Amino acid sequence: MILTTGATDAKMKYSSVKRTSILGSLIPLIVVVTVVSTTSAESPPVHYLWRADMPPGVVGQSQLLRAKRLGGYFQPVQIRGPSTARVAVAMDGVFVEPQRTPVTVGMQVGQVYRIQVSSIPNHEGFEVYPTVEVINRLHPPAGQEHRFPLPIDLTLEELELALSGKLVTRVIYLEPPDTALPHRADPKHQRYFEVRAQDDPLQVADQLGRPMAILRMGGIVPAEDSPSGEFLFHSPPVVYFEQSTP
Amino acid sequence: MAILHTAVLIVFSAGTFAQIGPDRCFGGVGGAVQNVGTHSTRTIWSERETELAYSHGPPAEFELSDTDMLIMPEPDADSSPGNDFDSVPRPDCPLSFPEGLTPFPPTGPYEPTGPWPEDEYICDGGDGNIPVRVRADWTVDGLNMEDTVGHFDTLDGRTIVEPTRRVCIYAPRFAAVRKISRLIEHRQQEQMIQFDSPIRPNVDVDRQLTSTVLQQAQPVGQIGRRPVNIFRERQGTGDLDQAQVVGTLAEENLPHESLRIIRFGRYDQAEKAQLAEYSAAAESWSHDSAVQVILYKTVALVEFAQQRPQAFYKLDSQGKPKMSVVKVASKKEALPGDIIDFALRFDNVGNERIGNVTLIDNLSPRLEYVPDSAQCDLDTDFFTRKNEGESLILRWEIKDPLEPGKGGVIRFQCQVR
Repeated sequence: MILTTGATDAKMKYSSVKRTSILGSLIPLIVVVTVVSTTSAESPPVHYLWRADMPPGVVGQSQLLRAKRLGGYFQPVQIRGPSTARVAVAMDGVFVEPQRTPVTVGMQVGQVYRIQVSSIPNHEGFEVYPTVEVINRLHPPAGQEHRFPLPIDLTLEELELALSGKLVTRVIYLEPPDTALPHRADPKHQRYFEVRAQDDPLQVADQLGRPMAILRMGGIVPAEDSPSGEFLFHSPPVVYFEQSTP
Repeated sequence: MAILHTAVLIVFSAGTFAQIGPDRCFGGVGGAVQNVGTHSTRTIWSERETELAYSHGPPAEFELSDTDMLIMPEPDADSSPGNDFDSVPRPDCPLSFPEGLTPFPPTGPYEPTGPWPEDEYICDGGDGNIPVRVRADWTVDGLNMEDTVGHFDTLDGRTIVEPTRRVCIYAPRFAAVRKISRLIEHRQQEQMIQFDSPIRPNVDVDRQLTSTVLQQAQPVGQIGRRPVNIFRERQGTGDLDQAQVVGTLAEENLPHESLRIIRFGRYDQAEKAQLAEYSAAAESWSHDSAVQVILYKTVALVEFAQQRPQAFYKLDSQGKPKMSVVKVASKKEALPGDIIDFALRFDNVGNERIGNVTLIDNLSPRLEYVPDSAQCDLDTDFFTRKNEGESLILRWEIKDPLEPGKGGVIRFQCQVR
């Protein structure tokens, strides 16, 4: 259906046949594109050097060796937890005053931060001491760093698992937008995937996106008198940001 | 005056000298003497460096005068391209290069290559990996995820595809992978304790209780200390004062649409920076998705080499059908759940009537179209269809042909997933 040159009444020439045919014809095209993209997305096997069950700090420090640009940057991290829970981050060898979640702090890439979680719902009087290891950073537009913090979710379920003596490892990763799940994200709850016992969450997260942080939460508690330097990973530098209204 | 074995290296694009014409504009060594003061184009090497660089011996000898002026000897007969010292241009002899030879790479203003890192941005618009083509039966091929294109028919029967630029919005989203290690993995260790049974427990084992650790008083005096952040809802008020009505849109111009290119379809150079900002770093669109236009199975030539928030395409044949498509977004960054306003401005910038103007936007999986938010100031048919990313393909079909100089605005909203 070709238009003739010099047609004055183009409206009559522009047939409406194509109006209904185009969308229908997109279906086989989309299938082909999907197959091609799936085939081209296959990557060669990768040998992973690092695992999430390595001692805290190993992965982060290796990141600093690999990319020096990550060093010295305070990545805003927002620690979110149950409604009544309070969170304190170690600073200068002691835990600062616990604050109600969410708490936003700046953490350096490659360092390990010990966190104190108290006032856990239904478990008042008990405390959990997870660690957060930031292994990558974001690159937001200038001035927007605090608006896009790295979220660390401390769910009540996982806190109770830690209180019962289990070790919870959570690798937070950045979803690539082209392969992200097409579902609306719940800003209050971070979506997570459970891996099998023989799988490494760091490797799975690397296959799904860009690993950003590792949260480890178990039953370890500090000594009675005061937390030691080893327990606090020698209190790496931390920046407290002004807390926004939950 | 002592003869120094010191070389002057002229910083020039080596390899192009062999192509210089026979007029030998680069051959005058005397030019080097006249341009001694041009330090920006040469580097003086020490004797040691010269020896290292020219192990076969210095390429030329020249003298250092009492006034620190370099005086070079008369040129020898060697004018081969490898002799860099024969390559100083005379001021009165303009550079000339054979046809097809570019002596220096083209330079221009700095242009970022695209948003980085890409996994922190949601991009929509442009023409992605596979160029969009419209067949004779108007079947659309190559419509990738995130593509936004418009196509129209010309009076002589051609169908021209024109993509928009990519609009990138900073909107990182996170998920997590969890693993729980259970105590059952340590059952064997618990059985090992039985080997210690001959050792009776010491009475001191029960002496200390850890209850005091669990009774730590938690200070609660700072509950209400945090101030409310009052700056979050102050976005976008003043710009509406200058709003002008566009056609028959339900609302007046939104703040991000108060540009001449959106209101009147006229590109104003003074708005370049502002348009780039509202286009969500429009200048940072990646090269691999740059605008590609196919005019009747022939690649059209872009009129401007530089990347701009808009582009014009032409086909140098009979008639000059052109359409300009500009896409802008209301935000440069967004959180999940935020609403983003998109605007598509299209204009017939050619010299003949175009028809069957159709604009297609294949949304990213992270963008969810807000139902009933699409509007256009022209009479259109609007269709939606699911794409492979569980999002939608938006399609506007302009019913009436566009006369030269005429255009319209399409507006719709998306929610960030």
